[in-house]
Amino acid sequence: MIRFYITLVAFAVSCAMSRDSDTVVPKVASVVFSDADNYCFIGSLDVAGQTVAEMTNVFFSWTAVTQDVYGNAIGGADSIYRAEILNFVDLGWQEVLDGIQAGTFLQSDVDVFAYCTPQDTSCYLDDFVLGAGHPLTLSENFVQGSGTWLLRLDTRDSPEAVAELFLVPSAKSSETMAIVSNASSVFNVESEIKSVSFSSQSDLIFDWSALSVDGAGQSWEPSDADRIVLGRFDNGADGLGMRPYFFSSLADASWSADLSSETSIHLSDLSNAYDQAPDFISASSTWALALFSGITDPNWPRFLVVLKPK
Amino acid sequence: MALPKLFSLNPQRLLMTHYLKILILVVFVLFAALTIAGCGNPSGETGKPPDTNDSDETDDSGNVPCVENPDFFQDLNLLIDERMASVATVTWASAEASTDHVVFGFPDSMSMTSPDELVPSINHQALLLGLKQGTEYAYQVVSYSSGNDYCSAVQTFSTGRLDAALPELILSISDVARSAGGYTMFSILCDENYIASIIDNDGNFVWAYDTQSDLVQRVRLSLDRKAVLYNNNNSADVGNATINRVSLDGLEVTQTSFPNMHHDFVETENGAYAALGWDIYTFTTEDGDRDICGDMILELAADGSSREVWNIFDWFEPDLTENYVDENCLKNPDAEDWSHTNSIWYEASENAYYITIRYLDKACKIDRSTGQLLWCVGGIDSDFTSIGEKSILNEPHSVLPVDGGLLIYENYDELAGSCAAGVMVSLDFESWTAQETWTYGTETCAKNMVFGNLEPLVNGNRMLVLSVMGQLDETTLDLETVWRVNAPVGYTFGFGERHESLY
Repeated sequence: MIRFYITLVAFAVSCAMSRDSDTVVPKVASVVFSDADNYCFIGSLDVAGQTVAEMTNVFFSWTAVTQDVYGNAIGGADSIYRAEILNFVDLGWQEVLDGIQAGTFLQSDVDVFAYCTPQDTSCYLDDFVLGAGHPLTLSENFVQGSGTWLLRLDTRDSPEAVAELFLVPSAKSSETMAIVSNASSVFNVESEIKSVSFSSQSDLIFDWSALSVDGAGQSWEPSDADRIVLGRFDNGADGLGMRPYFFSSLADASWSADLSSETSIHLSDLSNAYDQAPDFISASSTWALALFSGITDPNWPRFLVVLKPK
Repeated sequence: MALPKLFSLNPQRLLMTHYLKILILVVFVLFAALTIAGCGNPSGETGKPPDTNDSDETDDSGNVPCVENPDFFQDLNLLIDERMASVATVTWASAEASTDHVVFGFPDSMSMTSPDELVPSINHQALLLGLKQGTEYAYQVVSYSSGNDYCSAVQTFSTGRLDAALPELILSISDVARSAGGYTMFSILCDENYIASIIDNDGNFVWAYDTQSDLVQRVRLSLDRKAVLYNNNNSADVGNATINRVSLDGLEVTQTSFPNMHHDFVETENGAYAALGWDIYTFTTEDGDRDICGDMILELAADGSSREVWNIFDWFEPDLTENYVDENCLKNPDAEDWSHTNSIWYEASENAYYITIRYLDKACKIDRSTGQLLWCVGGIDSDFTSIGEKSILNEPHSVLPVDGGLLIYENYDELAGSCAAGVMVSLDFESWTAQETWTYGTETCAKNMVFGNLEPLVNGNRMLVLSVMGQLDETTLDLETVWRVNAPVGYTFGFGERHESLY
């Protein structure tokens, strides 16, 4: 199989800029964060491509897909309930990945959007239908030089595709099968999480009003934050750096609050699923704090820091 | 008693309001009498019921001219049920029999009203519609009793989140001054299920119901304006197709079986429906039997009785030298989809149906009583001679009669190289000629291949629904796009329709 790889540097930021990552905050009620406290993050999505015969009812199989692009196990290949094919006539691979990653594509930007509801772990190209249940003989449009074709697989557990594969229709190819595997799409992450130390007490106020750059190096308004989450990580927060996307699910316990335009919050205003506020931030566990903004991506922390109570 | 800041008491104005109400009542009675006598809607315009304005009971500054008298209103209560968390139900009892309504809206500008009650009563109930989810609002009850116009204190409340996996729609273009405004209803495919939904002019969802169906193509407001209707065309088993009625408060859901329905339906009278249905004829040829899929117009009366109004096989014959596409006929995917009738409208003033037949490139008018095909425009053997450079009708997908002709939506046709567009086809019934006199397409060639429709709006604008492109456009007659809503990638629409008010 001829494979192509493309690397998307989704968020590039220099991790070199940093103040002392173990800043000691005086024993005051407020913990005031600065940009130098924020984590830095570099992510790249590698998506493979496969050349297949044009104008052919290609067979797609994803039996071998056991994890998502972040390396998290999915509930078996049969948990993939929908496959999508997107065709962008005028866009290249990188432009397509950029748009998908940024979440900026509209349905009207796509020249063909078709989906298949598989009975098992496969679909034929001509199984795909347009909206309103309209059948489509997609193989007739699947010709060499017809732009970028992207196959995406969805589970109900994730808002993002768990696996992706570029398809390259070719007049010279006789390949009638495309196999999606764990290696077809991989999201590579490098990040560095910094920490802030402070005196443990129960009447803390977290203040992020001075922030201006998010973890991906993009400027943002701290008042854009619409959710704050405090997480307790009983076995340390080492895994968080590779998977900041899963902040809440990685935490052993979490407390959160929805924000409108606030730029500070009292610890007691956070609550868990039982509507209970944290008593205090003990030094016996690792704690991390994250700010999210649904304007960009509700699951990517714009700000992330490990808290070190003393 | 001190007047609240929002109000301005003007006795002269109050008196005028009373006289105005009497005048409106007289006009209403006269109009009703004329309609009963058979004089309704002589213009030949579309028979959609007129909408009402949102805020005709407020003064220029949005204030309510009434005297605050909270004691007049007992047991005032507002309820929001989680099944439709953007609709509030207000109940109250007035100290004496009165005709009341509720003024509501954002706390700083209550610009909407529920309809005036027509019959004085003690116990009252009003639905507050058109509310965005998860938003703070205010409301106030206004009562008209014997010589007194009272209102309750202003109270605030917040709507909840709608119980449906809705996407964030993007309001791409919004020229508020030139847009017709109102509420747009359509089905939207979200992952596995269609959601029947209504959005406001900001592109925000104000009503949504998860149909749990994989094929809902049409959503309409019921004729009594108390419910949303949608067709569950059930792609896996068309024999189990249903028309569903969901009350606007989301609490009552009823289902009416309508076997073999496809694409589109219309409510003809309260609780009575007409829809397109599949019909398959087997033709014997030298090469063997061929199953050809065509269409019918079926009616289902409110009492449950049904009848076939019209059958395409009675009026047209498939060309058996041609092979027609398969798969599209859900009743039998192996049958050849010959005609593909795809939209229906009932024009009450003419007691006639209008349909589009996509693969025959036709729009046709059918007498409801007799089932007679009155005329067709477009395609082979059109009853109208085409004038102009462009041939009339190409892949039509909706038709509505308007003064002087038809408003039609045409799908993208890759083979013909034509883009999806809304068109006005002017018809001359003396010379029997047809001419395309207005065309709206998007700035780039819209490749909407499936579904879509064109709607006339109250201010003369028109709304183009590009269904599988997930795009709604409102254009002026001079082709300026003044409103556009887009869905994010992965979401597609069915047909759409616009109402100035949900009341």
